[in-house]
Amino acid sequence: MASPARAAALALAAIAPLASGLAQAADPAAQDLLRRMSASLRSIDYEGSFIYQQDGRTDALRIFHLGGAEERERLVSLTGARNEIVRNDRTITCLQVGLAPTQFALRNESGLLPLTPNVRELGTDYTVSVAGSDRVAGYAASIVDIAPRDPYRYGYRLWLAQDNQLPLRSAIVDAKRQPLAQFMFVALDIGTKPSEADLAPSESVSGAMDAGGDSINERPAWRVDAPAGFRLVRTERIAGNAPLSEQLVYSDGVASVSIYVERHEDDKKLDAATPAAESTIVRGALSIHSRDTGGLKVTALGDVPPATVQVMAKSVRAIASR
Amino acid sequence: MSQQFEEQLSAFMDGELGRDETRFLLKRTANDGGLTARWTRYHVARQALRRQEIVAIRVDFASSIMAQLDAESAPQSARTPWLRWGSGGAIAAAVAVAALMVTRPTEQPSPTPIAATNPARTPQVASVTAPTASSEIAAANPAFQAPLVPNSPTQTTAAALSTDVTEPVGFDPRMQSYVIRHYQATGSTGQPDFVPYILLPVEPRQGEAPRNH
Repeated sequence: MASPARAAALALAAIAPLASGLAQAADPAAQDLLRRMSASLRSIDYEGSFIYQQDGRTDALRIFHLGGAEERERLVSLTGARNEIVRNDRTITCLQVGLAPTQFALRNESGLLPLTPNVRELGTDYTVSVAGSDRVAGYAASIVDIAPRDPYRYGYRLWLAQDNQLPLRSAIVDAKRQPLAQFMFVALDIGTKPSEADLAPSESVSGAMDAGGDSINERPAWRVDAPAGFRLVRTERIAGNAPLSEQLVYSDGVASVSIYVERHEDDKKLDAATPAAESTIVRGALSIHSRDTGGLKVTALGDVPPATVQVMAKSVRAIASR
Repeated sequence: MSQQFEEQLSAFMDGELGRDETRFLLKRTANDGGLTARWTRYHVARQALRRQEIVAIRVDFASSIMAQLDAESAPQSARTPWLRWGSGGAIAAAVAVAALMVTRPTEQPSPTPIAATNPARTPQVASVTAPTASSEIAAANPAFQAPLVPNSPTQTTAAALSTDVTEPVGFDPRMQSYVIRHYQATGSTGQPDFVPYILLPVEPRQGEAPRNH
């Protein structure tokens, strides 16, 4: 039974974020800025260099973007080994030093600029507000905060160009508003149409395979109790010699968590009495929780707080024996 | 796809398909995109399950193997060992030429592999026993009420401005495959999904010199 102090803390925890969110919910200026950001990300021509920081590591990358109906992008790493990603309206191609190019069919409208949340699916789990102004890469910027209403997801702070709402900087932030990963343009030419050479892969791509699975969205064999707002958006059966191995993807529209469930190859028997071995790893915004018990290995991971993957991994149970 | 081809495909992946049957299967594969895609997916899934490096398969993989079969002068038994997946033998060298975005397999994970190799980049082990959700709420809530603090690159968690890619620390292959599968899957929810790939720690290869943009 919960102690009075804990009960009070729980009550405060339940009410305070909600009150804060309601106070901030009606911020049409912020919502309008985010709507314009989504459109700008697709339509504007630009090229620039940005730094990306995550997990104590700093990378510099250069991006070329051609907007419009046939949107194209190319992202090139400027530090470390040369990596490159080329995107057009049909495919995404990954090139890495020493490795053959790999090409994927484009399944979504995702761009290559990192840390740009899908604001079209911002639901009631987040609030938005304008948090001030700043200057980034020489452009005047409006700062917009996307704050979660509970501690099961991270927030974002976005610096949007005041002229066209293109993201100039973005950070995924924890509950203390400390950035876990962020990118920031250091040089940016907006309105500059990239040349064909800038958008084309630096080496020939002979074509490769889409490594996606074919057993997607089948009826799941496992059930997960997800925090409010998360819903099951994808189920993928992992082919091979473990018929009950699955990847379950839960999303609230912005944050996503994958749950991998595997039976041990050498122990098919599920023994609930076996003590669980658990571990949690946090790298930047990525949290991973592994739970190994009774012949079952569950791994939950995503760009969410550790508590989210812990709660979800612990809740996994079989729907029915097969 | 007929059950016969399914069985042949499975036998081939297990290295248990005879030489003539392998030739027949590869010819069929070269003319059947669906069969090729199916094999690719099996291959990726098996590697993930076997904790191996994920590799993608080139479109022309069938011709590569056929060429190698042609070049093989000595007769092969029906259970020729180099056709076994995961053995690290010739078949891997011939087929797995299109490695996908990830590091080479690392050593088997030990209890403290990362801390031992690079203390500066030790991941935070939050806890062995997970805190309850309620305690997380109570702990996190005051911070939501705290005034916003300015964000700047120097305020990131232990961010060093010098790049340390010469000492990359990757996840073990199984976890690496999990992370990649996650970002692939979540791309469909609208978030950029390929950027994390490019930023995953990649182990540089010997004698590899960076190229200029």
